[in-house]
Amino acid sequence: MQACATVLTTESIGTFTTTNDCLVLFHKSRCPNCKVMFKVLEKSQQQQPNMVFVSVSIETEPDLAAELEIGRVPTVVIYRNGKPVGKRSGVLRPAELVAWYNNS
Amino acid sequence: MAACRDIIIVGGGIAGMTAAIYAARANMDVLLLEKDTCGGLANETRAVENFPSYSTIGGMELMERIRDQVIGLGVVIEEINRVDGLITEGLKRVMTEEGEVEARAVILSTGRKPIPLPVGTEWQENIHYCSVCDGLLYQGKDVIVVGGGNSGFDESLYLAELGVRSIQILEMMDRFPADETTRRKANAAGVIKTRTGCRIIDVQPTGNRGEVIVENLKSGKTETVFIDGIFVFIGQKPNTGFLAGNIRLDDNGYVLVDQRMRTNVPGVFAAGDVVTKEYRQLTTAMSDGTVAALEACQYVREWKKDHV
Repeated sequence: MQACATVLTTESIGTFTTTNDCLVLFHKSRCPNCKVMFKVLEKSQQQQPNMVFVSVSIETEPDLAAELEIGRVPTVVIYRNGKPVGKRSGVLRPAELVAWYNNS
Repeated sequence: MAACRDIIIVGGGIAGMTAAIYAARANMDVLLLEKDTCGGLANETRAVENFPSYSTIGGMELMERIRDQVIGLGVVIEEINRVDGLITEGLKRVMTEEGEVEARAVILSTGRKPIPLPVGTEWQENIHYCSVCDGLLYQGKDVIVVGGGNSGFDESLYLAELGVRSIQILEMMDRFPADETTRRKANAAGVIKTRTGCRIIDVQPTGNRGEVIVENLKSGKTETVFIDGIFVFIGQKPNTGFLAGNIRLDDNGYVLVDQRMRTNVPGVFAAGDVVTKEYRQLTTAMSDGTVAALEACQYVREWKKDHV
């Protein structure tokens, strides 16, 4: 699947989210809706270039997914100042995602 | 508005992508618009085993290969751009969520989308249409799969592989539409039970679980089943809502076309699962896309002759 977003792991997510406000996409390979959400995030980033978007595979990081109670994919979590402040599962349209990010 | 294109293809499944290949190779200026990502429902097929040239290939991989070919031919693809309307008088105007685009001809290949469970419930969080996306939630738990076609059985097998404790496949008809090979695999999985002639008539949340009322369609008797989730695979309906009376549809909402994939509007063609037809396969969608593109190219050439 798409590899353009920075890929985070159990080891790197803490440091990254502390130093960057961001959207984290939790996904799986072969998940059609995850593929759509990668594109939605890419498109949203074009509309709002300061938005940082990274990804975590729940297949390679199952413990992290369990710790964060991520069962469904795609799930997007918004981090601000190292803390998760919003979480949504399923496919969103770009305008919906940008509005949610700006209001979180 | 952007410059007028020769052909706009609405929908990037295999029918639309095949049309794009043919139109690009005929030197047409082509824009392909896709609501989500190219590939359509084939992206959800784990293994395609009836596509000439591959004995087996993942649906998503096959679609990505075709998409690469389309891009290589110079076709502009806009994904995550939903089409909301079509104005068919004169040049065709396609209204998208990002604005309006114009073309001499349009090919409609918007495919189909899953039919939702026809039962109103407040338990929507536990009703799913994609086992790859949501199956992991049900490791060690009990689920119902609604629909006894190949999709229902294939997805049940995937859920069994994930470690779902028990799976009941419910089918309304008195036999399963799924092919025998697939049914045999499901029977061998050990955790899949199957029932025909029944349907869900009510779903209510109760504690952490769902209380499902299943009706036997012959006897009318009902049974209460407690489960953790429901996966629904009961077929698809056409994505034609945006056409709003412009294009002639059949009673089920599919686009009516002639043998040359022409709709009732000159310069508007349709291809793939969205048209009225008997067989909906990748290969038949490719055939439709081919014919629609050749006809659209011919239409554009004639249009250009008339508008020199």
